[in-house]
Amino acid sequence: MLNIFKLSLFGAAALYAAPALAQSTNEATTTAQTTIVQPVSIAVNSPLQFGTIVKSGAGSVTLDNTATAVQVTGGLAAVGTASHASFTITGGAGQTVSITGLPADNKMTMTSSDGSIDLTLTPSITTGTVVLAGDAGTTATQDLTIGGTFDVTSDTKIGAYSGDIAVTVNYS
Amino acid sequence: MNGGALFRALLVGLLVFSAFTAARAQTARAHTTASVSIEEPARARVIANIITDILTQTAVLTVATAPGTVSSISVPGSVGARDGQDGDVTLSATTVLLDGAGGLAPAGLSISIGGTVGQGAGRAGDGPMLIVVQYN
Repeated sequence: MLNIFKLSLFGAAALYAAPALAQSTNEATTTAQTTIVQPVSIAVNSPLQFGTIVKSGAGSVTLDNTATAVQVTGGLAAVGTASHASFTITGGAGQTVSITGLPADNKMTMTSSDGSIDLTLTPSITTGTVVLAGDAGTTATQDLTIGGTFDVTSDTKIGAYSGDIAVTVNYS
Repeated sequence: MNGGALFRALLVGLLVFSAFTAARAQTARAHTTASVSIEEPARARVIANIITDILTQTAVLTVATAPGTVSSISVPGSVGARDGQDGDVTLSATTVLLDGAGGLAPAGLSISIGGTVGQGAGRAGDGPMLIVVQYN
């Protein structure tokens, strides 16, 4: 009787274990990874200043994005202090930074209380993105400079003109 | 959806959320300005002292203008003083007060004037004197 009970118990156990034996073992391996980089930042070093333009007639005004002197043509004379706009982008070396905010056609308007001047910006980075050069894990910087050019016509009013330049950067 | 699929869905959602949050945190913005001042050419301001005797006095003129923009200052033509009655005095002036070599307008310069006494001698008179400031 006892043997019959043991045999029944073994059989039940075998039946119970049978589904487990029927399953195949699946295993997958993946990795967890991350890259820690410092936040990208941008700082203004200098504004885009054309200084004072003395107008005796029509002409054009140009300030290169690497120059500090204004070039004029026609009946114009440049006096005073000039500077191209200068930004410094700081972030992790090797990271790709997208630069946005400048108008798509690089055209903006400087306004005064009595009129406006159409200004075409000439940024040093025209591709919209830049890779911060340097060894991985280090801090890298990238300069962004902006010059510009505009025309002074007979209709251009005397006055002080200004316009806002905004630059946004982020990792891409 | 079994437990494994649910876990994977949660993991993907968490990764997307983390990436979105990180991208937003990595945006920086800076503003500056573009500016220019458009001005008319500087006009010379000339101030002469009071001349009590135009035959013997030296008129001291002050020509104020933007430094570095003037190539010459001259008095073309004749200068006359009329008393408004019956006579006049013709004056002469230095024709070129400043050449282009220095390129700077002096704070003050003097010109000698004198001439022939007309019928109005002894009476006060006045007349225009044109001063030409030549810019570069």
